[in-house]
Amino acid sequence: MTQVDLLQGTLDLLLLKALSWGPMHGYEINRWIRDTTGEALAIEEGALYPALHRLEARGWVEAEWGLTDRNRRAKYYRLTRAGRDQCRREATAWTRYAGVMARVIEAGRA
Amino acid sequence: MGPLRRLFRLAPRPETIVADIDEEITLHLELRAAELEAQGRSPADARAEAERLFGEVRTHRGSCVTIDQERITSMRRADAFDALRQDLGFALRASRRRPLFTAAAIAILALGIGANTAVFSIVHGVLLRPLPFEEPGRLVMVRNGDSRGEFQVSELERMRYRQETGLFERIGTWYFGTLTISGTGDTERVRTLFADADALPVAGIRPVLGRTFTPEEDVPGGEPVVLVSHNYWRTRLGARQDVVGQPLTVDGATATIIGVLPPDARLPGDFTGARAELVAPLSPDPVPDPRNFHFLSAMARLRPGATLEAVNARLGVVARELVETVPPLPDDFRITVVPVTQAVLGQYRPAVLMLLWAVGLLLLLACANVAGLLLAQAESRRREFAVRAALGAGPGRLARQMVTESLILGGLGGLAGLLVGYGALRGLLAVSPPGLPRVDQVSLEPVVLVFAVSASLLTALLFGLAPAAAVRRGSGVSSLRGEGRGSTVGRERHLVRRGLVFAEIALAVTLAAGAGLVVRTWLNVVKTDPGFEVERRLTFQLSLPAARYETREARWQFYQALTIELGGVPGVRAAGAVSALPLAQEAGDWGFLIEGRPPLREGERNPFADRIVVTPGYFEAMRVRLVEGRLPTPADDATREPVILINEATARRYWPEGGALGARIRLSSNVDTVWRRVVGIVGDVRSRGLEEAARQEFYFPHAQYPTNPSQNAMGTLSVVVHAAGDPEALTGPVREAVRRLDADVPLSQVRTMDAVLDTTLSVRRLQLLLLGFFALSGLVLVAAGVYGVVAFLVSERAREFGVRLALGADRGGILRLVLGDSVRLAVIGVTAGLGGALVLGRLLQSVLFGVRFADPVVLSVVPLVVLVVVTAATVGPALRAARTDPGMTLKGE
Repeated sequence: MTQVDLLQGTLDLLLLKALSWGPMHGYEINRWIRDTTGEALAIEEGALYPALHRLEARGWVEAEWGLTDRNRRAKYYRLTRAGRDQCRREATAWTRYAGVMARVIEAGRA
Repeated sequence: MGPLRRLFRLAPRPETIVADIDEEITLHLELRAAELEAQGRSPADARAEAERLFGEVRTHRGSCVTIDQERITSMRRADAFDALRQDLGFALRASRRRPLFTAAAIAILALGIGANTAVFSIVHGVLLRPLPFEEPGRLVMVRNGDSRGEFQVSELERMRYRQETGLFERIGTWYFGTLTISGTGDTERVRTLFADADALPVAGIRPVLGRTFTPEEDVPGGEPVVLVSHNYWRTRLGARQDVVGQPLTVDGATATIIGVLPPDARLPGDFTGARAELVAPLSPDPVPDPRNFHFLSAMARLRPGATLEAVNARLGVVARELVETVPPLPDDFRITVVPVTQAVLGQYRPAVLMLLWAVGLLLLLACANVAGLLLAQAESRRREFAVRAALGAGPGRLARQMVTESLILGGLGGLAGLLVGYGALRGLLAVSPPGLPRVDQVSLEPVVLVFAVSASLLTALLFGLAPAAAVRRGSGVSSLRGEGRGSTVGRERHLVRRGLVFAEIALAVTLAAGAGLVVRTWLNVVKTDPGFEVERRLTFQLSLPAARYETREARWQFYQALTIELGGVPGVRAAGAVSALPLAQEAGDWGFLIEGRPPLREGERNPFADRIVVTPGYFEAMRVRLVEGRLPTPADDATREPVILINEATARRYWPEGGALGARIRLSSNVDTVWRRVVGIVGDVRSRGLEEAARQEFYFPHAQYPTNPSQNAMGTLSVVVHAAGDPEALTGPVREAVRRLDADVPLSQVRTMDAVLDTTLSVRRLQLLLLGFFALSGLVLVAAGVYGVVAFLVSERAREFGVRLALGADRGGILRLVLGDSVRLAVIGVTAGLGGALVLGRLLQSVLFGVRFADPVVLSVVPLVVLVVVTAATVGPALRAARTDPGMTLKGE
């Protein structure tokens, strides 16, 4: 299927949303996004990591080393309370924006 | 993660960051590859595809590393701030819990830092600041001398030295005198610098307005020109910019002001006491006086490259030449050059530096004491530290906290020290002897403030290190269990501390004994009877201008009229004048012959006494005792029989069997051939100071003074007015009275006799205050030191006390035990101190007055006082020891 390019500035929202379902490590987040979008988004997978580290630096996620079910050491990311608020804010903003754009596109000529 | 764990999470190390990121990325790639393999690809294919999907590994990895490193750095910074805030919080809480200790520590530090700040201000202002000359390193004072001492330069020698252009780039000469300025308000006599045309240029002093003299103006009969000092220009001439070219009436003649000097302009000779307000040309005679009077100061600028040895060698040759050609010069005449800084400041350097060493030692002792107090504290806070260590604070962290506490103490001590220093400086300046150069310019300058701040920080580190190190060593499980006490290291430290306290006790006794001797001296001096009444006396000096008061009669009539005029001023009970004011001026001695005495034998000296001229009313005004005969009256004038008075000392010396009254004496100099009858004997007056025995004196009635070449002796007299009330209130009316008689006669040196006496006591007062200060500081330090040591001792032996109490010892016994230990140390220290006191007393003996250096009163009171101080300092911890709860100590804290 054709993929759409990831819009600038929306990766954070994707990651926050993914983590709102619970702590995950980098690969799991990538898996979740692929599953949820049906692989419709063209994301360079490595780009997730700088983004995650940035989210950690801003205090929206926390990281902790843990063990996968295969006993592999993995860095688990988790939303902080501030991160949860930020997720809500960005989701609302995005929905509103999408709605406005939709109205613009569907509007007939005046 | 809970808040507690977050609190103690430490920032990861740099190497870990990169390793972690690598691990993260590696895991991703492996899992992605595994997923792709599960979809059917080959392992190598899956791997390649995973990497393709990932994107540029290096770039992403690099971004992650950068992001993480920045995060770590700001985390570290935040941690540091947090830690600092925590430390401050702990430190402040700790100080509040022990207000007495904190106050004591700050007080001790304030004492040490304050004293050092004050003394350093003086050292800086007097010694360290460069003299106000251009390139003072090349300036030297040229001095003459012989085996008996040094003396100044004559006009003849001046001309000769000016020829030495190979040595001196330039040489200037000057002397100080007094001139009368009139016409601008009050007539006044001002100290004047008589300088040749080179004197100011050689020092590099340039006028701020106008110019200095030209050589043409510097000749006898040259244009009357003057320069004024900056202060005179500001206060009497209104700091007007157009003052150059204005006239000024100097000694009755009109002179032109040609320049104004800069504010700090002074030449050697002007650095102490009243400063010169006027500069007039020296006008050296081109034909120098063959009598070769030595009255000039000379300063020269050496040629670049000239060494002192070379200059002195050459001057040795010049000296030899002068001895040949100038008859009045002694055979051992020599010429030396001295660097100007040493000439002006050299004699004060040792005393001032010794003072600096002394306060430095005081500061060190203060630091040692505070360190001891802190150590005693740290031991009792061991449990507090152990708990914090268990909660994760490393020994480094705890040490840092101790240092923070020390810095706070040091900072507060420094601030308090600044206040103390300011006060101490004011006090020191108020009592400093007038002879200290540049003392009028000493103040708390920025340099000194920097010094004070550095001193407090340094002291903080010094005394903070000891307890910090102790805490570092002692923290950990072992201190919780109460082990580690009684170790050899602890015992060593304890011995050092006891040694320190012992030294402090000895030092305190020595200083207190010295102070005691000085106090007794002061009391002896102050209660000495000067021979006249000091209170309620106003005195001033009058100088009759020679031009209008040429004859003896004219001068005598003026003073007689003045006495009458002053008698009419309300509030004046008596008035009189004298040629040499007691305690202020020195009279010269003259030899005399006694009628009817056999001629002198070989080697015998003529009778002699200090020659003093008095007007009628003087002895009454000063309430000098009349022993026999009568006092001078206005009837003792030039038409009546010449009479004379002597004092008791003269009578005792030359008429030991009595009979002085009625005897006739004659001055032995060739000037006077008149026999004078002794009509009165007055009580002794301590003219040269309270500490010097009265000198032999004789007194001439003003109108009968023999005519002699030095005319001014009768024109310039010091007048004394006995006031019914406050003498200073009479200043205005007295000035008015003088002005009514003659508006052009200047008054100078207007002051009360109290002030005159006070000045003579300034050195004594300084001694008293300094030694008193050091003695007091010594006692304070002893108290602190003893308290620290005993407190430490008590905490160390808490378990032992617990055992004793449990085994039935009574609390009084514990108290006696602790006190006894202290007193034993004190007794040994006091004994050593007494030895030191005898040594110090021996050193001071030459400056004591009426007190033996081994004074029994001092030597018994001082040890008692020190013992009381030691006991008082011990009482606190001793009581705490006696109140030990055996249950708690035996359980092991």
